[in-house]
Amino acid sequence: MTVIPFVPNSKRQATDVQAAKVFSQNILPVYYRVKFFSPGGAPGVRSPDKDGNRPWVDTVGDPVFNGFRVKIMEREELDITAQLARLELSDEETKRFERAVVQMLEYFSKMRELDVEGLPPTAQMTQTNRTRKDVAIVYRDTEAILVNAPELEDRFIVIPNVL
Amino acid sequence: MHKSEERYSWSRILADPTPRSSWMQFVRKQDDQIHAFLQFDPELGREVASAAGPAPSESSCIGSLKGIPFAVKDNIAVRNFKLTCGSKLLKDFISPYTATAVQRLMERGAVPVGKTNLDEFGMGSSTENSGLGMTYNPWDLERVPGGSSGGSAAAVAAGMVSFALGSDTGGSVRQPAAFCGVYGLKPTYGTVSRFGLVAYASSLEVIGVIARDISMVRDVFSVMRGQDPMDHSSVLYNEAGPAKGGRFTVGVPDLGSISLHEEVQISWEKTLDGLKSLDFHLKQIELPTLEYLVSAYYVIACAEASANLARFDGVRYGARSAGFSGNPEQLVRLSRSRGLGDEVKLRILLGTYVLRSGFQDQYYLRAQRIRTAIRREFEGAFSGVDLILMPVYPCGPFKWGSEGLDPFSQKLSDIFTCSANMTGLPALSFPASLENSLPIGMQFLGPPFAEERLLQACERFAQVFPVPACPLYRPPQAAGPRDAEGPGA
Repeated sequence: MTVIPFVPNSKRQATDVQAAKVFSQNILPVYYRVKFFSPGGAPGVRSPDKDGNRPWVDTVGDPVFNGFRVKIMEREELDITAQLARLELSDEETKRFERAVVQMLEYFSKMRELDVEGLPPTAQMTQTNRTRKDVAIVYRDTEAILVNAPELEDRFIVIPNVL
Repeated sequence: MHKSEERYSWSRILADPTPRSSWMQFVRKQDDQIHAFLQFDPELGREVASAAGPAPSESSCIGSLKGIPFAVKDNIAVRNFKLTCGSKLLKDFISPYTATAVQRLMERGAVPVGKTNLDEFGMGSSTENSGLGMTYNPWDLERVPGGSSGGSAAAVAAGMVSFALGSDTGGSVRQPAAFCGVYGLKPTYGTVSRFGLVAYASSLEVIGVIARDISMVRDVFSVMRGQDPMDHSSVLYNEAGPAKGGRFTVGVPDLGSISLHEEVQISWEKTLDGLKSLDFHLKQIELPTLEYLVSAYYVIACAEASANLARFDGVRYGARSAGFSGNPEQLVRLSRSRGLGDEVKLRILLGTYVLRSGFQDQYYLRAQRIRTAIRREFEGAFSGVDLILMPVYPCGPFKWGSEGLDPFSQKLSDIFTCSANMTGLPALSFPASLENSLPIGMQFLGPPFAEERLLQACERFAQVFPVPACPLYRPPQAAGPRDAEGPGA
């Protein structure tokens, strides 16, 4: 497993890219462009020109290496993640999702720019825990639940053999 | 038509067979073009509502929502109605129970008449991600209604229902409301019970209201809110005080490097002028962390989504591939892979990735720390202002398909809306102007529990720009003029 360290594009050097390429044969440079968004990752929408065409511009940061960006996740990583998420991706889907996932992960890397030292994490907005009494509440209308079961035998839900 | 007359017509529309059937015909005809509803069944709604609780007798003065038909986004449960979440996986799922928010509205006499289309599980900004078909903007059928509560906003804008419920995880009530030229309230986190809302990102989302009439937004919210034993994150409502000195001080953030599309820029300037003419005091504020908001928001939303959506396994409910014989593990994989759409899979993959051991610190934990920074920044800002004004979306209603916004650009464009979800603060989007015959919305954000302040500010702004009517809009038509019916008849 090879993991390329996160470096925001603005701080990435050409040498990092070359090093990364040598690091693993599996890492291929990818170059992609996103419609409508101005350079620097500033979210905003470009107005169409007088012919109604919208300009194609780079999405995040400046071009790093002859206009190529470095893939920040390997194919293998996506496969492992899909396994964990109980998703089965076809080859065609893997290609499609790889692109979209990389695009988002690269966008997430923007968070690295901010100094978060000493800040506690916020997990939820209601800051107090409220517990209930440990009493079972019986739901009686089980028919309304069973009606949604994909396969029933009497009142049992059928699944494939476990062993 | 005067607002109170319109309200009266809504309350009478289901009561008598003649106006009821002509209204149902009208809705079906509208929906042939708009496709706002995934299920429209007022008869079922009347049954469910009458079984819901103490039926309001004709003579009792039980509340102001009696007889009023409303629509419910199809990720919010109404017993015996479908609950598809816009997903192929749940296209036949029938809800065995009712969400607390809907239950409370029914107890006050309101009648749910149908379930509206949405981006699958609420993931998207155009309703194009629904697995069950598109919804079209009633202002221009070539454009999207926004999302994810696109069906709810379109149904309200086209005059099909008096109000509709949506859910707002990152702007999903306010952005479609803005795209359709109506009001959209995202309440303070926890004020409305999430029991019966199918979970996507639990720490961010809340049930909200979409309506053309600001007093309807107020009444619906005041009925829905309050602590619920079924939702342990729901809170007691603790109303914030009125604005200091009776005059609203509105914080106007420096939008800096964030570029707005031309029509939104024009509308933004008109809104500022309008507020000045209404004697609002405008004050510049800085929100430097806004730049990091969207990345942190998507890390948190996807992480929570990957956990929440793990339950959809095709075992106890949901679509299963026919004639399947393998092992249970494979059944789960295939059901999820065939039943879920691309955007949902993408967010599950991202969420699973950022929560994997080894990556948690750099993504999820960092995003949560940034969330703290954003929260503190807004807390600081509200020490000097009563409200904050922001655009809802960087562009107006865009065209569907390849001429529109690609999914990545749509995500980046959540920048103005998702701050309210990351901080839990209430926000209300309102129609600010028409540009090229399309509605543009702005929003006010307030401190916790300051919904009333938001409503008042929007009521004031309506003096400058009242809620617009789209070409397809028709006001509700009840049996006859009010005085012919007699009070409470």
